[in-house]
Amino acid sequence: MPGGRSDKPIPPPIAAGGVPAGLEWNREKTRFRRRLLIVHIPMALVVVFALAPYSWMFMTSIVTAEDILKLNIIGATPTLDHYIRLFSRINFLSNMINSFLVACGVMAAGLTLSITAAYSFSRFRFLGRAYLMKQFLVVNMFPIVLLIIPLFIIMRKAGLIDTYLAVIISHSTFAIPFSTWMMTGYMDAIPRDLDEAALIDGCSRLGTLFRVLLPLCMPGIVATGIYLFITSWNEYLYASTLAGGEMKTITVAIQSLIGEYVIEWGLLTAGGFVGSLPATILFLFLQRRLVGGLTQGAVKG
Amino acid sequence: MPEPALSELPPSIRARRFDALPYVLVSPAVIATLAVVFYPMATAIVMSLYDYVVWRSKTNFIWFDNYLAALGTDIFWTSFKNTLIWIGVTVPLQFLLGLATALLMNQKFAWRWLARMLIIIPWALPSVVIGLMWRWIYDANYGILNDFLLRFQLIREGVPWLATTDTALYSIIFVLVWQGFPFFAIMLLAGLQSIPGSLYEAAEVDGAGVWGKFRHVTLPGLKSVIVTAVLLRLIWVGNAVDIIYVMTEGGPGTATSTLPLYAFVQSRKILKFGYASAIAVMFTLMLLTLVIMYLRRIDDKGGSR
Amino acid sequence: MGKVSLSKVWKVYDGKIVAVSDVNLEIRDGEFMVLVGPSGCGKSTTLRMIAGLEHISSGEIAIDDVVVNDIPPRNRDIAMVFQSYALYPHMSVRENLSFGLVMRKMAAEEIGRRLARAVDILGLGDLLARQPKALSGGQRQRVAMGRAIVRDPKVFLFDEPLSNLDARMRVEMRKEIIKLHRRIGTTMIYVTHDQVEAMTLGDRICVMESGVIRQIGTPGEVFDNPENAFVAGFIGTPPMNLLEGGLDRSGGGGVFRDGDLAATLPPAMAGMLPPAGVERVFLGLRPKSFVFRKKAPADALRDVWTVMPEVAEMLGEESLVHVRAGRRRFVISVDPHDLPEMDRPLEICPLMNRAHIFDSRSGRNLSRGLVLPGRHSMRRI
Repeated sequence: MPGGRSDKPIPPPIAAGGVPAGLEWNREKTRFRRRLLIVHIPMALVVVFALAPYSWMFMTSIVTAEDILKLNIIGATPTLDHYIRLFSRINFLSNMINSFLVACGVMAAGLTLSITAAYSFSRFRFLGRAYLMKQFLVVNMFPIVLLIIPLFIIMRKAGLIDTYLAVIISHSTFAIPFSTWMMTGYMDAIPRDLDEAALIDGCSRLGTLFRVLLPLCMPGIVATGIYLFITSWNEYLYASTLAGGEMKTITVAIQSLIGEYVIEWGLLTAGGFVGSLPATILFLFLQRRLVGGLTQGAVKG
Repeated sequence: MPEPALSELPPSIRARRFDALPYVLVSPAVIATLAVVFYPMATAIVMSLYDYVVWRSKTNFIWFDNYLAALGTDIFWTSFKNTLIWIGVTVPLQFLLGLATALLMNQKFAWRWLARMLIIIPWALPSVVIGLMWRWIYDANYGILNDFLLRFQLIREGVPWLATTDTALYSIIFVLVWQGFPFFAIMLLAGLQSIPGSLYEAAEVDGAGVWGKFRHVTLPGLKSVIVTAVLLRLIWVGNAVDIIYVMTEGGPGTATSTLPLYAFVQSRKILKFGYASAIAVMFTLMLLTLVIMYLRRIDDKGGSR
Repeated sequence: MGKVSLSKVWKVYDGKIVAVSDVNLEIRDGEFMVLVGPSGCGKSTTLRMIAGLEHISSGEIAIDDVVVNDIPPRNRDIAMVFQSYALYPHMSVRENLSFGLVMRKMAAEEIGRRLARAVDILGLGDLLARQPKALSGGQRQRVAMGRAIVRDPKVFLFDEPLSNLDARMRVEMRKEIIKLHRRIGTTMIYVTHDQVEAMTLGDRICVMESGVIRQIGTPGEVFDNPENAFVAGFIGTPPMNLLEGGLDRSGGGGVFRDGDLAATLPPAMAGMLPPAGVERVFLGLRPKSFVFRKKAPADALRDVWTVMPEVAEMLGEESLVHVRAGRRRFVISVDPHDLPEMDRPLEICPLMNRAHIFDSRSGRNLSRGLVLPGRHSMRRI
């Protein structure tokens, strides 16, 4: 209001609800405080709790050994020493390649073997179906320690110790049942009308699987595949038992960084960070699809 | 209206021709599973009846001597007790922390996507890395935990968390809770989001408060997810050997030894395969009993399906 | 050619649950046959057996005199439009349309020619590049029909294709389907639970209930001459009123009696009834088969019913008045400008020359085929 100076205070504009704007603003402020207290702060604490150990590991890995022993981690100058040693001296890269090949093998075995089974479970009603499906669920329950000894003996007899195949086969013990269940869930979610339309349109029953169901399951196949990849990459017990010598996978290699008498924490944390990177990245970037796919079955069931 | 006569059947029902296709389709997965899971399992059971030791050339059938020998040792019973504590403490804590996190993440706030993304990290890490990472945190001399507690004068001198009988098991349980709660959080969040908002509105109209809505809408809506998630975790936590193995190998003494760990160490270090198999079989039965008891209780409480 | 015949067809689940019972049906080449009935009546199962999606428990289905019981769907030369449309979500409209032809290894030019024809018939021109999820309900419906048209099959099967559309779109698509049938002249078998749809579309309709065929006939036949009480109560909006009562045969003629209500059967109708053995009957009268006493023709004045109007539904052209007479409630149709006062006794006369008499035990129409003057057909102009 140009030149509109007066002694009278300008009355606050009235908000739509008939409440003076100032009051509205106050209410907004207390509401925000409340939200801060019951949402933002607790959530932040949980996130810090989830991330702190991991961050601490990373911070340790970029500090020189002397600083670590002086407990001077936060203020120290960062260094890549441990990472350089990891790849130059210890040949961590070949361990990563081992893990990568094994994980790809597990992914391939798990997916190819489960797809036709899932199609059968999802689309056919046959004698023994319920029983077989139950078996695939029960299999998930068998403890690793129960299977690991016989698998070791079998592999040794077959001369497969310290080969990719041994580790891939051992990881198949969980990969096949798991992906069969997941894929059955994905296929159940696809309406049967589509199969029937394809049957009438000229597909055989197998043709229906490959031309209609599989393309539509793709997101689920990808999620399952990545999950198998991560699980295999992260696995330790089988890998260390069946291939603990020449062909160490990444987890086995990390564990073997622990020396006989001293633990080089810098090297170890660097190894841990590198070793967990693929799984972490896959999870971070694909988490929505991955988690959606993995929880879908449980939520519906 | 008159009832149509439907009791009669056709003169002859043509039998559906036997359809081999579904069996052909399941066979690859079934055969593979038989070969890699069921055959080894059967081998393990048979082996548990022999005094099989890798470096000995001769083995004898000894009936249940392995089982009896194991049942006669203190370490077996310590491991048994530890396994129960291990499952009984870890799963409920994971669940509660996961539920709280899921409820928080179900609120609408600007950085929700970020929280949701970061919260999974513990779950994505390899157990070996987790074990080593926490060993570093728990380290008696250089660990951040002791450093932190000393700095705030909560303790007088550094505690060797993993080397003290009283603290070792619970220190590892804490790690497992940390690792497992995101799984619950994410499953429960998905469950929460599948509860229709109209149910909450209806409850509100009926006069339910925050607790009332939680008690009568949220929990019933989450029931099937909770049942599944707890079951999966129960099995998973029971089987989790790698974290303990990396952190303490069951020590100090037998303080953190669980049955599967005991079996693993017996086979791995001492190479007593027959004896280890017997323990593994007993552990499997124990886990099976727990799962059956759990499912029974669920059914008694009104059933999930 | 596209003749379909079902003889003694049964569908039995688990050896005991009968879904379709002894169905005999001849569908002529080029005919539009509608299977109609309430949900669970077996109409969809019947259609799916014709399609080959369901095993036939007993009996035979033949297409053009070839028994198809053991022929897989892809070799039956049929096309089907599903309630859910069943468009392949991962394919564009063009790919959806040509999928069945590609599967049959048809030459590219021929596919192009057929696609062009279907696009022309259904007006799909702008949609070819789109994905199914980018289409409206009506457009999806059209694509689903297009997928059937390009196949140029012997028989078109429709399984409740309009149920997922809103009311306006449904009327629109009904018209399109009639035009389509007229244009391509292929045999069509159409399943619906909506009797209006059945009446408007079908050359003939087949009314089913509990797995059994209750009547086969043209819409006019089914409306005017229902074979039984079920068909009478199912066809027509609103359906025929069925009043249960006794049949008084004393004095040679026939009088329907239920408490205070009495209705004298016309002599021709009374003459059709079996001389004895029928005591309880349903009297069937459509809502339009009543007049106010003050307007009744002389021959209808014999029976005057005093009823209590309870509720009136204004439908525009007519008003439906729900009335009570003793324990009975039924519906009459009146001119909206002549609406009676509610809750005041009203005198009406049933037009008995339009009535039907059903045996209450078997439900059979005892007066069927009686052509009486004044009995109106549904297809009036």
